[in-house]
Amino acid sequence: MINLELAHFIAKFYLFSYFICFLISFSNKHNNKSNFIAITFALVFSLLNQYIKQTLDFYTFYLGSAAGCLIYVLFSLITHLVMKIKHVRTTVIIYVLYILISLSYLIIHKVRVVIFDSDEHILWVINAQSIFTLAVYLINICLFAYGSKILWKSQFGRLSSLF
Amino acid sequence: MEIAIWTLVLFVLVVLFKTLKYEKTSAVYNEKQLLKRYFEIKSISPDYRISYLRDWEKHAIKAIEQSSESQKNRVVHLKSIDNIK
Repeated sequence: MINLELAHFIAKFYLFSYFICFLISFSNKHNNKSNFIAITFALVFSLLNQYIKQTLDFYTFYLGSAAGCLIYVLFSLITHLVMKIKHVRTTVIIYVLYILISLSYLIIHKVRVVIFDSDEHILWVINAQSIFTLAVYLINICLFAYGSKILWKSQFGRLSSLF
Repeated sequence: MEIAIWTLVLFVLVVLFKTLKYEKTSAVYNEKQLLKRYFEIKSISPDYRISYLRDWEKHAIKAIEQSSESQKNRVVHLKSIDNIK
């Protein structure tokens, strides 16, 4: 099993990188709007999940996290439609990755509840799933950074107009 | 509870595909291209504008016909068998 300290460190690192991606895309004048929406929702939901996960039981833990991923996709889809912003290819890929994560959560919930009552026998499955999700989140962060169009010319253009 | 989330998965997938199709077809998202086109046509001198638009229409109709041809089912016609019938 992964050390709890290491897991907490990884979670903090991911939250921090989400925040940096958000700042980069906010400060960029020629920003990709759909990517910006996706980053903001990802940041908000990852912060909310920290509080929601504390209240969940044995049965609803993985279901709640799966629902969180799906609701993230739904919310960002609705905002795209309301603000009349076209989807970019990277955001669609991010949606697909989030749906894959939610599917993996659902599969692990099924294995956990139906076959075993305790986690001791299927720890390797849970570990594999956690590694998979962490890898996919890392890919997501890379996509967010790629979508925010990091260029030194247009970078901090929005902020420089203030001063 | 579990079934609800599986239905949510399906619902999200359907909404995703619907929105992607809507964005492809609706003119709301092609506003920039339409504006560009409008100014392009406006900049042509009025003597040649109508002939230019007719030419463009012909090309558009041709393109639509060609696109419908590619979507046809490619049934193999064997002449010898047709003659027997």
